[in-house]
Amino acid sequence: MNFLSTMLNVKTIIKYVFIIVVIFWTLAPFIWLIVSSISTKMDLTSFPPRWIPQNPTLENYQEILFGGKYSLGELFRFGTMNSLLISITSTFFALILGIPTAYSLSRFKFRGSVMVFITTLLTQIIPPITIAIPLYMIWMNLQLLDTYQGLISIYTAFILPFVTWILYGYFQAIPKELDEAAIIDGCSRIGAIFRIILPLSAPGIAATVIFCFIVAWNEFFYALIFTAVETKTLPIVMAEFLTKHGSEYTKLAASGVIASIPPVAIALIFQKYIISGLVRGALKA
Amino acid sequence: MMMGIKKIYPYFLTFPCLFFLFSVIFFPLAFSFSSSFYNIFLIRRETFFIGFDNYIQLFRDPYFLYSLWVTAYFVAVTVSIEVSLGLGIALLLNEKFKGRSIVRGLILVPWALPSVVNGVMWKWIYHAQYGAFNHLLFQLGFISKYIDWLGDPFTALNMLVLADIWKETAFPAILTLAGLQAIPYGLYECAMIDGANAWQRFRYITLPLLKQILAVVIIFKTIWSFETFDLVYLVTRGGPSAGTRTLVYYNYLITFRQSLFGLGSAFSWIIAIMILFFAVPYIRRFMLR
Amino acid sequence: MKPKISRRTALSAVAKVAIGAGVAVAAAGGVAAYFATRPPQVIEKVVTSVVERPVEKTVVTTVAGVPTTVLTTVKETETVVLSPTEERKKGITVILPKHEMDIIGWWETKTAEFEEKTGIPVTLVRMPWEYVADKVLAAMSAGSSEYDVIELDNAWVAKFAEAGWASPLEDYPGAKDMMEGHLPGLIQKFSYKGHLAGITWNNDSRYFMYNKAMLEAAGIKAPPKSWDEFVDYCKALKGVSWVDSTGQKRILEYPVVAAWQESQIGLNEYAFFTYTFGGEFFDENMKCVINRGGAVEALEFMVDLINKGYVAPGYATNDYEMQLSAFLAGDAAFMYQAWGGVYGYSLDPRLSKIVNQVEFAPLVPYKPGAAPWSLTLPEAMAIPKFSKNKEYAWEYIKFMASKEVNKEMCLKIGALPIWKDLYEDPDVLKKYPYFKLITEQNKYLRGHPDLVWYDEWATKLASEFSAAITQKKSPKEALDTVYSWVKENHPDFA
Repeated sequence: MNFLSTMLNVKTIIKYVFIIVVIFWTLAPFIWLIVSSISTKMDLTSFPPRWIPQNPTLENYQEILFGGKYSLGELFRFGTMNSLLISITSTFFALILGIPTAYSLSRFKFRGSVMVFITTLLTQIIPPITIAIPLYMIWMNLQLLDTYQGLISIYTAFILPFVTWILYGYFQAIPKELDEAAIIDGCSRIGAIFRIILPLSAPGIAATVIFCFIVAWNEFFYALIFTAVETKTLPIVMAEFLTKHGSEYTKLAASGVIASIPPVAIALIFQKYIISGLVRGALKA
Repeated sequence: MMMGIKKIYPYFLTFPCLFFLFSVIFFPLAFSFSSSFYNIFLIRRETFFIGFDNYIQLFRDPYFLYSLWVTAYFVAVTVSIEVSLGLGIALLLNEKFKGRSIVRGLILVPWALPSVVNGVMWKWIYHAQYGAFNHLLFQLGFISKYIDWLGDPFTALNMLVLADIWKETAFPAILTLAGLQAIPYGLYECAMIDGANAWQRFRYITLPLLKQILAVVIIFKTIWSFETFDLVYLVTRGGPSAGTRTLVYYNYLITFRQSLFGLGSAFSWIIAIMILFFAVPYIRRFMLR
Repeated sequence: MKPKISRRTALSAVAKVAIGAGVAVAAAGGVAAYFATRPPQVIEKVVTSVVERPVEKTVVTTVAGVPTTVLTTVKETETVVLSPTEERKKGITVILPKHEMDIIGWWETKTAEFEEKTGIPVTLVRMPWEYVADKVLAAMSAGSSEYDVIELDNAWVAKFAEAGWASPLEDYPGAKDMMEGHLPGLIQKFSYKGHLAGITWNNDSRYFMYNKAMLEAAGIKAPPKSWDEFVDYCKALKGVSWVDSTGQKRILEYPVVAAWQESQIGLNEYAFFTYTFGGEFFDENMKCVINRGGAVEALEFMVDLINKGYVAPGYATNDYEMQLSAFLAGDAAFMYQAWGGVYGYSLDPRLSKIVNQVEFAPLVPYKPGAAPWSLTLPEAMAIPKFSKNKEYAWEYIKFMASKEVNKEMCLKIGALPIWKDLYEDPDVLKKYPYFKLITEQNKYLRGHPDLVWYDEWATKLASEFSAAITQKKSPKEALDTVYSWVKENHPDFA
């Protein structure tokens, strides 16, 4: 009995040590980023080096959050609104298109299922740079440049394969018999998807939502090419800190800290579903 | 009637997705594929058909071959470390402990950081004189003198690997965690009753059931690793001495800076084929379920 | 039981789709009918100007049996019909990066003033400078008429002018005055094959700045006039004790902070050293001479500085921001290619530890026999040939680059003036007395070579340059590699 409890204690200690290491590893650079955002350049280049700035200042945050007309603040808020709108919509559409696709791939063997796989994969493999210019030309002719629809369609197209594949994986893990049983009991296909598959794969869907949102939120290259004035997203606004002569690092740091908040908030909210106890024990024989 | 409906159903479900992808992606793709066989002077709007010359020219370029090696190294190291590290973290986060939900959210912080900020941040962290990395290592006594981490081609590459690991490990970690969550606890209980130890439980229960998820994670991680751009652009500009010039970055230089669109397209297709090369074995295993 | 439900759901689904399709078709039909039956709008047009310009014609010829499309230029007279009210209202679109010193949104307020004064609405698109090329390139390659005024960076002059992305400006009203009134180096930089391709809006000329306090502490009375003196001074400055503007006692470890990154920035630095060593990248016949004479000497000199320990570590990856930070922190004595804003920053105690310790040197150091060239890396406004509102675009350019507006830009945000006269203007000198010091240097400003294939050249040179700086290759080896590459790929230039 004693031996067992000592064993458990050692295990727990090791567990907590690892956890602390992981937390430190994850947060250390980010904490330094926060420190940078309340420093001045002088603090960053002073010798001997300090971890906490001598004269911490909130002026970077002030300018970004409360600036007036033509200032960074206005741009920043504008970019945030655009990013939110575009990211949420793209994620939503990717799910709407991807869930049925993943479902049919995992449940049916049909001619062309291979083609679907290849198609979706090809889309991911092609470096974005390749189609940037031809796509620009097409979008220009369709008058989709600098519009919300234009950018959302592109983002959805890029996120879609990922959604399909990930959900395919999760759906595969759910035995076919479950939804077959439901259909035999009188449920429609769509109903089966809603009542059986989605709840059981909730962790997967939650994870997918988080990632799609973050990918769209942080996407830079296409936002650069396809937005101009109306639909500037947050990463583009932040890139404005990159001037010919440098990068205004302290201001950029402040904007980075603020820009990370929505994705992390969404992650914190959704990760509850990942815990979801629905899955545990659901498949008990 | 029902048989008929059943047959159409899958097509019905996948059609919107495919239609969307075709309209947005495939036409430009086709255009770029055909462009790769032309010498295109965007400036003079002239195009000359040259067959495979673009492809040949690339393989004769020593910098192309060098960037092949740089990319291979980068992808191999980052993917293997990130997936294994992610698995480890997922296992850890699967355990019960206080504050678990918060930690799970915090793991995503690096991934949530916009790449612009991430790039410039690491540029500062690695700086020879003012970098936090030097400060930290020096104060902990690991180094006796400040080092110019980005000053040597190979060291710079490894530093980029480190930065990438920091930023990207959350992705495999969270996905694997979700997969772990789907494994019913009951299975472990049965195994424990049968006398299996931790390693055996991991090897015979966890790993097989994670196969699907791991395969997907590896495929996507590999693809995205190949396409790493922002980190290279913001931290090292592909230098020093082309030491961190990955295939994608070099492609960018050719397509956008040098406006050699035909060559750039050919380059992209070479990259795509290479990625396919890596992905196909996984897909095969994955689809031959 | 089962079949009934399936059939019903199937039928209802089909019905829904059919109704939806029907509604869509009806709506489309209605919209089409509306547009078809609207009477055509007649706009009163008044001819206000006639302009002659070269026009491109597409000709299909066969080259070696392969049909290709080639663009040839033909001079045609085009009557441009402008209507004062209707056309103006359509406005113009301008795409430019922000001036790095414009933190108060001055350019935007001036643009608003222009809109009021002329009645031409302006859509101002702001781009981060890093990415301007990407964005403009995408638009120009697509032949987009989206932009009427675009950014023209000094490295793109040949390329953009050849492609028509920067159409000739010298014939527009008021252009000749500008050509005479602007700094000659700037006009020359943006001229190509006898045409004016752009009007400068950002005079990014570089000057030699140094830390007076450090030099005095080492017993040096004046800035170095030659590179030999420079090296001697470095020797004296290394390890010298001095006091920074916060009163702290410091020891100077490295007199020089360099930005020899593998990018355009590193090339800027290298070009500067080359010119002042009497070297060239290309001679007057545009033949590549980079692997002999001053160009080789310059690179050897730079590597030598590193080996002697005079250059701060990080030289292989520093960009301008890092270089500036080091200088302002008091970790370097020389900033040999500082831009105008640096002086202003050095006076701000929140940003610098060298307040009132910075001086301009009248001229950069140079090898005897060479000339004291300093770099100018300006940015200009250009009008793409695809633009449909060239005249209005020109009005905008004329306004923003006029002497009055330029003077205001200088006074309000501290930007370096573009007009020669402003360097002697009493109001300007009152605020920036140090402008007097740089009139000499303003006579010796030049930029990079004008090549249509400049970016290819830059990429190649940057890697070899970096190899030499990180001492993976000797300077001569690196430059020979560049030369052989030029010979192989652009034999006309070898």
